[in-house]
Amino acid sequence: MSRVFRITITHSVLIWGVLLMLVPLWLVFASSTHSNSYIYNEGMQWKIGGEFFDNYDRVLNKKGGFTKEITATRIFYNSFIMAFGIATLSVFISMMAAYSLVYFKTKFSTLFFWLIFITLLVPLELRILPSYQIVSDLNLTNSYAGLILPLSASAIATFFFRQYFRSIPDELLEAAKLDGANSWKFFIDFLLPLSKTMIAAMFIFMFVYGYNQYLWPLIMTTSEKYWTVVMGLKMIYGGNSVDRYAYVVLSLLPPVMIIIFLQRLFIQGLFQTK
Amino acid sequence: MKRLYRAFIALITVAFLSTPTISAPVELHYWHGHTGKLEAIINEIADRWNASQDESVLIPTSKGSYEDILAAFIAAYRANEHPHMVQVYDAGAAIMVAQVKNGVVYPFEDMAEKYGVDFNKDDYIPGIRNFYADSDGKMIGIPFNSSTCLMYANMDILEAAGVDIPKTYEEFEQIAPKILAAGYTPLLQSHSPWIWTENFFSRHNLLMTDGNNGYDDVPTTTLFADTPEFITHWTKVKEWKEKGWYDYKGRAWGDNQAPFIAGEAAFWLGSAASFSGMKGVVPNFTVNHIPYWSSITGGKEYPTFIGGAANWILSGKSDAEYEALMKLAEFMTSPEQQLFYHNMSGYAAVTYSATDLANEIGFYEASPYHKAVGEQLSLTGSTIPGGYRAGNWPQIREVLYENYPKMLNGEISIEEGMKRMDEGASKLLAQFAKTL
Amino acid sequence: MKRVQFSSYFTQYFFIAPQLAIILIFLYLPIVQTFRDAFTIQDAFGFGRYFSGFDNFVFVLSDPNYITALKFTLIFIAVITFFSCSIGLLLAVQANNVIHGKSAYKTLLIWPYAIAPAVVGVTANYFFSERLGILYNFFNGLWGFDWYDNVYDAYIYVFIAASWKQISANFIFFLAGLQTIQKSIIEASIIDCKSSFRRFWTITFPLLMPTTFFLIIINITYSFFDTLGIIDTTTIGAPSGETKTLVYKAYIDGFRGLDLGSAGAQSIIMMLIVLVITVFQFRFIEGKIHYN
Repeated sequence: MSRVFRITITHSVLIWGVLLMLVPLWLVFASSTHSNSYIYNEGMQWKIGGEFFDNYDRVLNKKGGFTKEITATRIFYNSFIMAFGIATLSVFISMMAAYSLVYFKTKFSTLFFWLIFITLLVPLELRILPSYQIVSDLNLTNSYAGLILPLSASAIATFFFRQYFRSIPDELLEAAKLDGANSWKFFIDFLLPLSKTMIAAMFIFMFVYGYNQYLWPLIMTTSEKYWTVVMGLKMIYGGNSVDRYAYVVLSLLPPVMIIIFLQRLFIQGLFQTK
Repeated sequence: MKRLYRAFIALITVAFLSTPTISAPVELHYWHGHTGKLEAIINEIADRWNASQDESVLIPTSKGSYEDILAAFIAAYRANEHPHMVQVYDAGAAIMVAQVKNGVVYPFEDMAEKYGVDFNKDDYIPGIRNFYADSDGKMIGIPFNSSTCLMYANMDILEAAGVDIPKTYEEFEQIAPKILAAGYTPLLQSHSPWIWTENFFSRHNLLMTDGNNGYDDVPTTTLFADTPEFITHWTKVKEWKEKGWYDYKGRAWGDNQAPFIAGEAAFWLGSAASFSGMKGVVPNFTVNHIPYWSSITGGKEYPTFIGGAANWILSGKSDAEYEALMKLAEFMTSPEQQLFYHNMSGYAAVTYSATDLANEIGFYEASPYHKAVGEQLSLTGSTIPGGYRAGNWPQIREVLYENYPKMLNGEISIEEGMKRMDEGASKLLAQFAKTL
Repeated sequence: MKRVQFSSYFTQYFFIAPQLAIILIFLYLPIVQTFRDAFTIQDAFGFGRYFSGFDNFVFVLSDPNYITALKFTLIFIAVITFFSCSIGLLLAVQANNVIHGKSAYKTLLIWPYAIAPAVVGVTANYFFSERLGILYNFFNGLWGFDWYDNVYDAYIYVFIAASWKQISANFIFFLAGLQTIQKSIIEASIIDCKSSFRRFWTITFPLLMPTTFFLIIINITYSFFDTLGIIDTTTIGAPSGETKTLVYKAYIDGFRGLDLGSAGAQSIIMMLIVLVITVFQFRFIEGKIHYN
């Protein structure tokens, strides 16, 4: 197979992939720049229309709810805080837990692993009422802590770090031990830098998970101040109007920015593992 | 030590409370399920109330939808974080009425008496009064956004096809081919469990469940398969669909409404509450009573069940808060506020004094739409109760949603579908009866 | 398991303590409650509560729609895992090979991952609504596609929406996995094996097994649990309940329908199903994986 041919194949596969991912969102974006009645009667549009500034200005500043404290901007901020909190906390504690599971001799490791793993099997939707009662007993309703804490124990992230640590050669620990590293030093000086790529990936994973929550904030918050992105989609932009297109586009910006930013870390991490 | 500390706190609290200058207004929390324009109208009412007095402040909060609000407030109640008043829809009425004995819900009638609210039971339109009442007729919920199903008609299409608005389904069958020939979908309908089930029964004066619709005894089964009229109706609907007279667009409310809004369908059966959203959007539309089969009723017209929701008073708050809440209830049910709400939202006025006021100022002549809502709800002559008391009804609606498409696409016969719906409903009713 | 390990009890527990504390408070307490609910009859407010043995389980399992939902869920998991995994892998391998424009491709392929399931559903709705939906009209022209009426068409609708969202996730992790494979191994294998296709399946793919294994679990839990928001904003179970997943059904019956007993029983049944699937995986797949 010739080189040129292979490169052509590679690029065309990737271009098809990119189109598959982008075209739907392009249509949403292009549609969001037209007038409401035009979209209603003509459907989604491929070309950019002339209402971009009007639509986006309206959506960003439209006040929702009764107290008028909530705007799309505030909603994105809330979701950002929630997602950032969940991502930071869960990456941190999952990594610690995985470290404990993989690098320590003990009879409880398997038990702990399954204790953590089983939580994967009961999603929040099914234990939402009891969870709410507990958060309420702890006086955490209507607070960012209440939004963040119950969602920040991630079996997936723990599992992920466990897999990753297990794939790290044993020689690394042997070498570290020869250097006189204790368990703390090994975690901080060896494992942490080595896991940069993985941390970035997990951070994205948990950020998106937190950002996209709907039921939990709905049940948990009784104050409009804490509305989040998916709630806004329902509460303010439930109707089939062009505002919803614009809102969908705007709602993507915070996580997309995180992803694009962390992607650089991906690349950096790559060089460091070499 | 601890006791001393508590006494100290109590002392301070008393000292503050007894100082008249700092008596802050009571906060009243109200959760509702409206969004968009309907939410804006509730907010407007709250603003009006807050501006009209300074003893209490009303804070309405939207919880997204009727289904979500029920779950959300129950979760909150169990954690003692619930609001003073909550909006619960028609299908949840049995659940709420059943909670009076557990002390979760305080009956409106008792509270009105206790706090000396200007309250005249006979002033409420009977269909509305009875729907949210217990079996003795005591009013439990406060009627608020009362809707009914209506027929919306696109006058431009009717003109193009050269036909008039039908009063009965028989008339509809006469004109449907003409509308189809003119290039339009004749009929669409949102929410089959509500319009073409619950309200089919009330509109034709037929019982929907045993136990006298649950008003005399806890119901054990629905009467779908035992009601030949109901089977006939759905057999007809299926025929219409095959002929292209009626089109089914899934169970989502909006998907069935969209072609009407876009001017592609002649008639749409929907809710009175849809009016505020369509006003100014759909060019030349009007509304009329929901059709009926004159062959079933012998040409007589019966009322529909009330739809929409009521407000329910929840327990666990202080005397001062309830006093303020009942003043608010008085305000919200006053003829002036109702008329405002009636006009803005399209929901019905719930008392005769409000409709009298509307007549007095010539409101109904100016808006035939609002007239249709009130008329249809005030029809008399039914021999069945003005509602149904059946538990687990939100889930029973799911059972209906799952069987109608199968009947319409011919996967099962109409009779078989009715039987399955009765079986599904009986199981759910039995499950609910266990908790009583 | 690691051959070399530390053996300090204190440090070990210190590291795992935060995780355990949070899951005990926010996961196990509620799960215990869910178990209790599963064996009791009670109204939504918690009144009239009494022990009812397996009544709730009998009630759930005797519902023919529950079996329908179970079948659909299993198909759904298989289809979504297959499509999103294979497309994600294909793209990751190509993106890893490419020299020019690597980071541009990466960015463009990764970012749709951020979209919330409910937002994906709303977007899919734009494409699949009968009025003016581009894909609806396209498929309708091909074979009379109508998801309101036809079960298989409704399947296609939710499969497309749910797999589309998951492609990026698979892409990210496969790419991360590919990047951890040392270049030297690949370079060495080029000498041994000329065909890049065979080289991929004999050398690269086995090295990707830990990632694949992890992704299969991610995809299963995604299609099992996270697609609730997609179903709720697309078919709502159309045409007549055939596209309800088990979680969606539990959400409708238990949370919206306010039947805590049924919700509890359904949760336990679901736990058992996912548990069986994952134990099976650990037994039969993880054993075959070589961690380096």
